[in-house]
Amino acid sequence: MLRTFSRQVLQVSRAVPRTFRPVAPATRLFQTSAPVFHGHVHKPKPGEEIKVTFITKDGEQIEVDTCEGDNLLDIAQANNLDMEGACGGSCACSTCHVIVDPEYYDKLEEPDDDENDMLDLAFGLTETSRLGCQVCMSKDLDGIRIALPAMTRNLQASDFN
Amino acid sequence: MIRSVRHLSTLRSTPRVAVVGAGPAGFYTAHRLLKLQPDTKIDLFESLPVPYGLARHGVAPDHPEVKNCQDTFDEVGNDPRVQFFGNVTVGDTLPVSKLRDNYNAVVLSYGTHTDRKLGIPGEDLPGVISARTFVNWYNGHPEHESLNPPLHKAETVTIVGNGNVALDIARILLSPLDHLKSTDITQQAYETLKTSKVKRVRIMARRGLLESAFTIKEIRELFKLPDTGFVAFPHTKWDDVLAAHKSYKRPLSRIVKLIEEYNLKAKQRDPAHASTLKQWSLDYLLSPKEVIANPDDPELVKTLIATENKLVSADGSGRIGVEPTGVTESFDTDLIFTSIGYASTPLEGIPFDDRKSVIPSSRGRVTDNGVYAAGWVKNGPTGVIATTMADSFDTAQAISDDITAGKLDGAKSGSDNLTQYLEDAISWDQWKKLEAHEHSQGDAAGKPREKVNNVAKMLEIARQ
Ligand SMILES: Cc1cc2nc3c(=O)[nH]c(=O)nc-3n(C[C@H](O)[C@H](O)[C@H](O)COP(=O)(O)OP(=O)(O)OC[C@H]3O[C@@H](n4cnc5c(N)ncnc54)[C@H](O)[C@@H]3O)c2cc1C
Ligand SMILES: NC(=O)c1ccc[n+]([C@@H]2O[C@H](COP(=O)([O-])OP(=O)(O)OC[C@H]3O[C@@H](n4cnc5c(N)ncnc54)[C@H](OP(=O)(O)O)[C@@H]3O)[C@@H](O)[C@H]2O)c1
Ligand code: FES
Repeated sequence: MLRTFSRQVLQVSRAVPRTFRPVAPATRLFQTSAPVFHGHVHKPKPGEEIKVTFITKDGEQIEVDTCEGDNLLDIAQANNLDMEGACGGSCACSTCHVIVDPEYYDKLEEPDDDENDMLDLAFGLTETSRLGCQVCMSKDLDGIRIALPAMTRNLQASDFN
Repeated sequence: MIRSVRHLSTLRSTPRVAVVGAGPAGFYTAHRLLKLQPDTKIDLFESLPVPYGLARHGVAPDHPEVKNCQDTFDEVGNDPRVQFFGNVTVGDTLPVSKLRDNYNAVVLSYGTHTDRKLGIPGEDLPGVISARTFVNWYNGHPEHESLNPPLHKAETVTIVGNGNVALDIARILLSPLDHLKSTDITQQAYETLKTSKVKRVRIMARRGLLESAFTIKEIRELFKLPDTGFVAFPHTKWDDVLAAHKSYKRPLSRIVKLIEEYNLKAKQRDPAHASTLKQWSLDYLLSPKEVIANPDDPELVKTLIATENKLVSADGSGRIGVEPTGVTESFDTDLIFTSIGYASTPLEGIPFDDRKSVIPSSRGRVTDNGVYAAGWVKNGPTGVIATTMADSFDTAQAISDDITAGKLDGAKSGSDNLTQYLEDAISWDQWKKLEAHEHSQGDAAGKPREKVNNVAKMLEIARQ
């Protein structure tokens, strides 16, 4: 499962020029040592950490400890990951689009109409796409893996002029 | 090796970048470039005394959450590496050639400044109003502060085009006043809407339902408006759509399902109740042919004549097009809003594609010596803020790659050399002073801000 998920991630990031493409993404596991808790995230109590692994568009894996109730947009931003939240997390822009590990997707609460409406505008929508600002951490998500799609659009006619 | 690279980069002079237009494209390009090339200095030129472009003057007042992108724009504006010069029109106050001489890179992100035209007789009558003019008016753009649309005597309105801008206009016309009262709509527009007699809004598109340009969130909002009634489709055409819809991709099939649901509700509505509601409809396969003036009132029109179309996919591009059937229909209407797209205008000395009305570029590179484009002026007038953001990141990447490759080398002095053109410029701090005034006026009226919609007043307050 881990394998196919990584492959899916690589497909998503195809359009991005990669400077250090890892040969085997799974071996590049980073633990952020001292995350800066700025913004809207909380520091988990010892023993209550919920682990999330972000997979960046370059294939890097970054594991972070999170606190119940915090959402993926805030978590990503607090850890300086490349995720914009143009509407500030109000489910009105789709710039926080993430792809959830299919193994965990069904453990999330279903997206509501508002989220689905915005997801319909996301680049490279997949079966397990979600809006980061709408996904909150809970205990049963411990170990969840989240891919950050490349924030570029498809090539357009003007690119070939 | 690493050492020598570092050594070289400290020798390299600071790249100076000029950005023309402080809308989403300008800000997002700057935002990304500062991340990719932290030692860049950016000057942001904006023709209005106020920043944010269509995030201020386009996005509907009842969509405040969309305007949260301004928080990121403020981060850019507050960054010590960025200088804002409001009230400076490039190509007018400041020649673009001066920017090319004094900067390593010039980013053209000046958006759109005019309207696409239908090109039909009667289009220039006063009762035919472009979407851009109307939207600018209710959003406090100083260019259209005096539009004053005669809503107090218009009962039936036709909007040509069915993109999200058309739906914004329909929603503003149909919304109960209390939906707008505590938004940042201008007081002037709010007072005019109070007197509005509009009871029937027709949204007219030249192609079919499956080619609709609106997106689902916006059509859902219209369906959900209180005290309004969607006018159900006549049977025949609707059944064809239903028969086909199962095979469409997720976004389209969700739209079709939604419309199906509300169409059914509309059919089941008690006619006596329906007659008490403001009505709106989606009219398809109609191309405007001529507008007939109202002989009794020059501010209004009388009739819109439209040709019925049928769908064709003839040009080989995969795009579904239309062909006239030869049948025409007449629609009585008091006002017409043309919402068929904004359009860009050329800047002297910069290549421009007149047909597409864009600055042609290759991933944002307009020339190979430091001119770039981003946003609507690069891609045409479509795309939400997320699209404009992604596109601007592409342009920033191109600039960054060119800086790294040494293509833009050379010591440039940027705005230090342009003081004679910048004497009347508004600084970021002055804009923030004006904004504080807008907020305090808004507080008094129970809204997020009361926009100043007149350049002379803007300048006066900003310079106090
Ligand atoms: C009515 C409307 C509603 C919209 N609503 C939404 C929405 O709800 N959600 C969403 O995601 N997207 C929305 N959009 C789309 C969004 O606004 C655009 O994607 C985005 O604003 C395009 O950014 P831009 O910077 O290319 O152009 P603009 O926003 O037009 O910015 C261009 C800037 O350049 C300035 N300028 C022009 N000429 C010059 C010159 N010669 N010198 C200096 N400066 C100049 C202009 O004053 C302006 O500030 C809407 C668009 C419209 C038209
Ligand atoms: N809430 C939001 O998210 C929001 C709000 C407003 C705007 N926006 C975005 O801003 C962008 C611009 O919106 P828009 O509504 O101006 O543009 P748009 O979505 O491109 O829609 C333009 C409409 O005009 C029609 N049209 C164009 N030329 C025509 C002609 N000659 N005759 C008749 N009809 C014609 C188009 O029909 P065809 O399809 O047949 O060409 C289409 O229906 C869009 O990307 C939109 O999503 C978003
Ligand atoms: S931040 Fe805008 S939808 Fe999530």
